[in-house]
Amino acid sequence: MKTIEITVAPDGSVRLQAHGFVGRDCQEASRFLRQTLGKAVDETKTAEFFQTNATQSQQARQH
Amino acid sequence: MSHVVTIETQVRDVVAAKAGCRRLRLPQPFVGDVKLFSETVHGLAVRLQDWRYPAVFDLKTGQGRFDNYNGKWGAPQRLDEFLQAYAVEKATLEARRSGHAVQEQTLADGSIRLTIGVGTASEGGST
Repeated sequence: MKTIEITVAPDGSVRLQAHGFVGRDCQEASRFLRQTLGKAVDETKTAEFFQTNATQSQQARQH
Repeated sequence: MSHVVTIETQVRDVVAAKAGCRRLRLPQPFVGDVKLFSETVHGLAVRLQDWRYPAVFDLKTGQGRFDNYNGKWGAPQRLDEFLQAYAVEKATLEARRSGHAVQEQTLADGSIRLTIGVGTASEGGST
């Protein structure tokens, strides 16, 4: 299941995490929240992000 | 998870600000000219608990203006509480507008977690 998890700290800062997405799909899916909640001050792509992108590129080359 | 984003909350939505005030049982905010100690500013005025002057947010930039005299005229924690309530309401509002279901959970450290099911209907609203 694809989910976006938002944790709002007691000081009002927001941490957004996307789960179950492939590659850049997570950025697309969470864009509406990033654009409306405020200003993104940090963004970290995890290993999963690059693994899935690498898989996609590999598949594209094979076709 | 494939990426993590940290966002600094900016108050730019009157509807979400009103919902945030309801959540904290604060008076409803209003847009207008507001006198602080030494200046008058225009924006969305939020009357925080035990604050002498309102916190005023520029709805274009989301930036807040206030004069709490280094905490003597209002505890910073009250402003933090409002920002948290606003962010929760704003995220819930935007998720529902996009047709997603939202579940809310309060954590032991006082944080509030929203779990948004992407592509799921928002029938029944948040819990």
